[in-house]
Amino acid sequence: MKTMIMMTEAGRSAVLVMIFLVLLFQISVLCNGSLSRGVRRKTWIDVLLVFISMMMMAALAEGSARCSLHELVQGVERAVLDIPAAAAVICIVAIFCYAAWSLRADLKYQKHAITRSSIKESADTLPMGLCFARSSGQTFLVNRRMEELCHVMCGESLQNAEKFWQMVSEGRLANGVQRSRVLEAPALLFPDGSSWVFDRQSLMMDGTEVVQLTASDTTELHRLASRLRQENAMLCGMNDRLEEYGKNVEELTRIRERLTMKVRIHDSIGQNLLATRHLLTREAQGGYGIPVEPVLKKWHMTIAMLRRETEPEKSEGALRYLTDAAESAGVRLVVNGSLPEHGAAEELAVTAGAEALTNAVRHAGAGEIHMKVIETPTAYIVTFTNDGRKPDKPVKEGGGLSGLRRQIEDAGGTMDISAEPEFELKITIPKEGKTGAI
Amino acid sequence: MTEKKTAADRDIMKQQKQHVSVMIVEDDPMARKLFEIILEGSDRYQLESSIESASLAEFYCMTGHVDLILMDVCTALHASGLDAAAKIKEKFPQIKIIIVTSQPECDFIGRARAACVDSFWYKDPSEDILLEIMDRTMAGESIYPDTTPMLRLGMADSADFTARELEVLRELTSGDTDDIIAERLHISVHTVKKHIKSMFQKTGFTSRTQLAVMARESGLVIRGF
Repeated sequence: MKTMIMMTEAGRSAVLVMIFLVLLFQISVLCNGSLSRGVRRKTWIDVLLVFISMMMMAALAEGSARCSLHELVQGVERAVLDIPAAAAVICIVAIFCYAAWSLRADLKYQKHAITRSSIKESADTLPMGLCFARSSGQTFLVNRRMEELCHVMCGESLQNAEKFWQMVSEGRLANGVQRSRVLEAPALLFPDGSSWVFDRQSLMMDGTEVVQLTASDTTELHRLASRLRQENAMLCGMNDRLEEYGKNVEELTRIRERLTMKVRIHDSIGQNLLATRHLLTREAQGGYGIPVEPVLKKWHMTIAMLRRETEPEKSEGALRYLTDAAESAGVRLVVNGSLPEHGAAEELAVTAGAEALTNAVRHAGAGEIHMKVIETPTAYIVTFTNDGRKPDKPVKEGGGLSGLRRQIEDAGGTMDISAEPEFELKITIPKEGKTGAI
Repeated sequence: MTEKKTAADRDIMKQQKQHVSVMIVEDDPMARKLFEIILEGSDRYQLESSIESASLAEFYCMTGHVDLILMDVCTALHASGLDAAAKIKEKFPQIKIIIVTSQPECDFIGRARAACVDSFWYKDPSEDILLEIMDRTMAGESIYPDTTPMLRLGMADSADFTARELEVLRELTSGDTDDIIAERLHISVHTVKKHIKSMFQKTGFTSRTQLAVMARESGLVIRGF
């Protein structure tokens, strides 16, 4: 059998090159493995095989160079050189195969196990921006999205998390980035139309403080919130217009009724004229005995109608309702201060007055009602008292008073009832009217 | 024999002689004048008081003598004639009440019945009909229109709407958001949207504003009375 020593120079060189290449491959596999895995696989086998390959290479190289070496080494060399050439080649191929297999195993392991790079890689695929940093601000994990956001905001990569957070929360924003007040959380609007909400949290990990910064995409939320805001504004406008419209409709109905009335007067005058002419004609023809009464009555009515038509309308405001009512019942109404001239405040004050008047006469048998109006910069305070009997039991808010309370509270006012030292109804009406707008 | 009349005869005589005292609750000066004139022209009725706001109606009933009330629904001070009528009927059941309104709001008749109001009349300017209704009401009859006036709202008739839809429609005229309407009616926002959508289909309208404005203008629904 042909041993290595008996090989030709060329054959030996070929084997040498083979061993060299396999050795390089082995070393690279070993390095790759040691970088990415723990002591899972038997590293010593790799090391041993590397050693064997080196020995073989050394022996072959020695055989060619014919240098004198240590005896032991020479013994090993001799032994190696005495191996049949075929066996040596098979051995080299086997070593190569083993190295290839371990490379494959390593790659597979790297793909499936959690490693530093796999964490970074998966963090990059997250739709949110993520950054972990030490309490000093030094970052140790920044995902791609966060890097991108930081680039847009300050034109450089994220180095110090604390500085970045400060800029996000209160600093000056560059490159067309704006703060948004639409959402409850502070959000940043980016030039591309997206909106991001940033958050900072301190986490404790193995006794050290870790800062976590997150950026969540709120573009859609932001869009919906702005739309909601717009719609609300639109509805507010619509509310006002409807209210205005409601008033106009009442006025229109009134005008329509007035017109009907005028048409009626006009018609009745026509009828009366006809009836009168008929009467006069018949009378002229000597036909006595035709009743004059109905025609007279009709004229009477038409004239009454016309007279009322030309009467100026009273326009003293709503307080007149109260004074008229009190007067009709012989009750004295004493008003201190002046009521708001027009609008909801006047209406509410008079409505409360009607309730106070009714209750004072019914329950207290009062002969005099006092109404006091105090005007403050923001509201009217109206108090009602009377000279009647004090209530002998706690005042129960029946239909009238509770209805009044609802009306006043709807308008943003307050209502208080006290029985001591005398019965008093006190209401506060804000000047602005309705405060509960959307 | 003629001098000795029985007690019953005297009562009849008294009733015939005695006028019915009428109170008018109406904030529109024209309509009020019309009613006053009609009363002046009749020999059975006399005007006791004529007021603008229903919030004082109870007071007048308490302090004066009233047999019959002609009560408008939408009165001054935003006081509801129907609410006042309910209260008066509770405290003074002997007083007859006729609700007179020119608003075709579909809910008014039902509420008037619930308040035990005697009669209900849609205003129209002929005195004879009103006098007849007053006579019959005083005689103990209860006269209500058979239906509310038929109204058109877009492609729909007023009768096409369900009671719940009309409730939502009434609130819609306030201009408030669906959330507020839902809260007020104690139903879900989803239901509110469903009713509005259904009314869109019935009327052919495409916007809330259109629906609300047309509903308000027609008088089909009136809020706050």
